[in-house]
Amino acid sequence: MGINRYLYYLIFLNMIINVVVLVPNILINDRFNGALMAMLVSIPISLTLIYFFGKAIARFPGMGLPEILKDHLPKWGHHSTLFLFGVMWYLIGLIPLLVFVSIIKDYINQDNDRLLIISVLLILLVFCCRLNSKTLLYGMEVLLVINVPLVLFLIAKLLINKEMNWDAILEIGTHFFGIPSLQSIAAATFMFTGYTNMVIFQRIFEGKFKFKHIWMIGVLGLLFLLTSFFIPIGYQGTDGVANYMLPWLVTADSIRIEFFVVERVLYLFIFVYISIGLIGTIIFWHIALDLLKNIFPEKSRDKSSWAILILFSAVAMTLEIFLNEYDRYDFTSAWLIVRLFGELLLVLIMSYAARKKALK
Amino acid sequence: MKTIRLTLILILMLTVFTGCGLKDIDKRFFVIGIGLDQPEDEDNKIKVSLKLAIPPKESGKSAEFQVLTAETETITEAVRTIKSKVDKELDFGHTKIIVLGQKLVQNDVRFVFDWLQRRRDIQKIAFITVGKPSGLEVLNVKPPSETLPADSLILPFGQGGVESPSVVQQKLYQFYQKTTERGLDPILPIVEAKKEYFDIKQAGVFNKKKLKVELSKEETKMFNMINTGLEHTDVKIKRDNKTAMVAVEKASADYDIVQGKKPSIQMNIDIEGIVEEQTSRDPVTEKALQKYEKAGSKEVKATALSLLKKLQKENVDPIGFGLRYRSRSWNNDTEWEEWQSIYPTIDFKVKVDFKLLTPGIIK
Repeated sequence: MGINRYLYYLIFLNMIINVVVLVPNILINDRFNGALMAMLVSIPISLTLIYFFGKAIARFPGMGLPEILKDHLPKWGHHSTLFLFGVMWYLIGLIPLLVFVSIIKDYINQDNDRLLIISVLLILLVFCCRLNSKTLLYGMEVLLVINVPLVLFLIAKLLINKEMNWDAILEIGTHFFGIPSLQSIAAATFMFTGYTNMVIFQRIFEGKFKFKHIWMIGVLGLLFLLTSFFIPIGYQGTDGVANYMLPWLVTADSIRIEFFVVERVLYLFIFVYISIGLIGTIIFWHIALDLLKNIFPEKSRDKSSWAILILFSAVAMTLEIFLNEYDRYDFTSAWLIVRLFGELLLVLIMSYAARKKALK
Repeated sequence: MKTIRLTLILILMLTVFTGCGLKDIDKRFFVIGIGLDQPEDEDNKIKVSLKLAIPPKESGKSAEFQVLTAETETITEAVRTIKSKVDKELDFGHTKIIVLGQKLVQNDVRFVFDWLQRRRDIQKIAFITVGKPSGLEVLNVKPPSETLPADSLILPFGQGGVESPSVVQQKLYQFYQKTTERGLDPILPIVEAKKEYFDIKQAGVFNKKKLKVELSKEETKMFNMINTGLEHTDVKIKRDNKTAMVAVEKASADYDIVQGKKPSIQMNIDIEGIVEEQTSRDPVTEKALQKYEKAGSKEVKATALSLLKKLQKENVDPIGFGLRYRSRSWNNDTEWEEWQSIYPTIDFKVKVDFKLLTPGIIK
């Protein structure tokens, strides 16, 4: 497998955490209006982007985005791009964090204060973000090895259960022909965006990785999309599924494991997704931190990274105070659209830089 | 430096996550069953009964419980009222059974589910049933064999205990799902409270809002056979004054909706079984076995048709024919209206494949 496996871990991570980035919610809201078509459209879009990104980044072995931009863009362009992408990566990690706070509050301990929960999580995140990239990847590997079998077990358990209503799924299948909304396309493409994390992690690969088997990413992404979209529908019904704030949580609470430590599968689900989601947030914020601190001169980077992290925490707490659950949903779906265009921009900039380098 | 930092974080975390919601387990009352009934006073809307488990003080003692009741306008208020009557915190995390009183389900019951579904601490896998004569009385039954409170009420529904073919198993989330799904109507088992035991053999079908029709024991069995398939059931066969019982090892059904000028539902039922008992003294020869098969398939067909026609007459659809129709039709805008006009007059064609594998140990 070699070092290349970390690339696939990064891609895989995004596919699993879609549930906590509210991707299924957005798709389920569009289930009668072309959500399936959006999934189908998202595959060629994403695979094309991956192809061009892979081609461009192969020209910069061992370099991260800050170094690439520094060499090939004017200073103002370099700084503003870093800032833009830094903010984007920060927000991608922020959404699961906000979702976790409400899950922890609702299902683990209702008496805890929301601010207390988020501050404890933030302490963990702030320290982990500052670890070096290699340690983070190793940590991610360990967590994935522990949790992925549990995720697969959950999905299998849900799929083979007799209570799953396949007619409901087929009924949504007959709504295949519909014009997909931009929102659901943006949500569906999120599944495939793990590769963009290479903008920083490429440094430790030292040019030894390649984007191989792109089709496999497409197939895997589609499978995860279909499961995270259809399973809640199979359990909560074509009409009833829209009644829930977080359909996946209720679906996990709809089955029981009779011969296990806990009967309520919900707690297994929460355990798995919080651990995977937190490592996701750590990785995204690690990238965000790296991108943002490169705006500052080299000497003051250590100090400025602390300042950035304090800012991260402050913004997270402010949003936690002011956003209710509906705001969070609107915020997420708006952010997913912005992210799609950001991804396009990233690939364009990378290709531009690669071309410039080739011409030199 | 790094280790010191880490230790500090860990200590901080320990003080924050003290677990168990800051209330010890002996300061909690576990609510194991909720009974919801029509109130006696007309000003109120609901009568809530909570079955609280009392942990035995010495080992070897049998299950103790306490049932507390309150009547108010909303369930939340009732729970608050009950809270003021007890000394410990009520905990709904272990609520396993919800009983709707027989009188309550005669009217629109959907308002009850708002509370049950909105509360995050109530398991969505709690079993839900209709209670005869009332939810309170079902909760009050204390079978002598019980080792844990409400055990004998919960076990028949889970697969852990007795497996009875006439028990319809419904979880809270399923009922709620079916109150909104077009083409699939809710069904609930009916539990009858006797002096020291429960009788669970019937089921009631809802028309989204209220109880519409009650199924008999045979019809309930047939419903289970069609809906999920059965592994242990029996069929009574009557043939020229002789009666035979067949132990069914496997029974399953599938159906198709045939469209066209005269739409029909074609159902195939497969049954495999062995003869368990017969009243006749004649040996069960090969010929007799075939005759039993024939008579058996006739019997099953008649039961199935009577169930399907009964459901059709009341215009309820707990099996999900409507959803099946929707899922096979691409006319998404009109399919539901189409089905609503088709269902009251649709034809049922039932084919039964009845197989007797052996007469048993003796011929």
